[in-house]
Amino acid sequence: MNKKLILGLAGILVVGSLVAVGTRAYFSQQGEVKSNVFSTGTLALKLDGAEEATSVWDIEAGGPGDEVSGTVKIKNAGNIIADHIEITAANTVTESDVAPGSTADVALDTVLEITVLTYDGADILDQVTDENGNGIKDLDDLEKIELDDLALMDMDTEHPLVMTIRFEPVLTVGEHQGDSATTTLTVTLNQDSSQ
Amino acid sequence: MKTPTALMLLICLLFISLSVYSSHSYFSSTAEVKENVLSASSWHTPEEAVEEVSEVLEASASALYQLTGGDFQTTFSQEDFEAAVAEAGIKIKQVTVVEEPRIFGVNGEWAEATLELSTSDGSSQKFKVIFTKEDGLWRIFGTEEVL
Repeated sequence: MNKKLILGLAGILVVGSLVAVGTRAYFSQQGEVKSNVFSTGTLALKLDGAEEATSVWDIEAGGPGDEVSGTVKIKNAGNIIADHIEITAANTVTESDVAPGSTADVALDTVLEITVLTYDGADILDQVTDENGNGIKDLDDLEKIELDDLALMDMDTEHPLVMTIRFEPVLTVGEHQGDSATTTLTVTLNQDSSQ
Repeated sequence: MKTPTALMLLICLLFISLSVYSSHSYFSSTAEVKENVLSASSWHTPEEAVEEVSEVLEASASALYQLTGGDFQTTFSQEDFEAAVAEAGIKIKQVTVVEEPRIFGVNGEWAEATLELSTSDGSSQKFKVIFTKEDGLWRIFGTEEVL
């Protein structure tokens, strides 16, 4: 055994003895923090207690001045606190096949006037602006804007959205006879005010 | 650490923190209110009322009286009306719509149109005819001579 090897063996023994001393000097005990589950909460928007609502505002055979009022109750049925909702609208106008309703100069959704629009009892009609410049606030205007920042910060509490729509009596004319407008409102519940 | 190196490190950290901030996402949940259908029916229009008046003006006083509203008929009986028309001896040859009907009033319950009546003797006269809506039908409320 040469001198270098002897030194190396001595070195290993020194380190080994240190480890032994260290092991002997400190006791340790291990335990586990088990079952740490990281799951996300949910925002769960419900309309009238369901995933979606249908036919809240319907008029089967309306004429000038006829109106319909409807309410949809909006709530967060999830387990995360939300901040607000926003609402958009999409309209589809169907022209009558027969005269005089077959004339399509003025679309029916432009004469379907929104006369009442409240959320949680507060008037929000001022959020709807006369985008098409016809002097009234109508479903066509609603389609062009977004109702935003409507507070919804509690859970499992219903917040009523009330809207009254009427066939504006002066603007609804012969060419609208037999026409129909189908409207879909999309409600989005947002977690944060920045959304 | 040299100043330029520290500055670069600071800038890098700033970018990292900004990217973390901008990628922060939030939850949202969406639902729809579907199938809201607003359909217009057929209804009596002022244009149709004008057309009816034009036709009966060339026909008979009796038919014209049927196109008048409740207020008019309360004021004038059919007999009195027919007698007044007969006494005037007016025979309408042609009716021309000078101004198409215009709806007005808070609830659109009024309409007016201007008609020109030509008689058999060659004279003509314009009248503004005021209509009122009763039970969905446009009825004559009154007339006014246009001078």
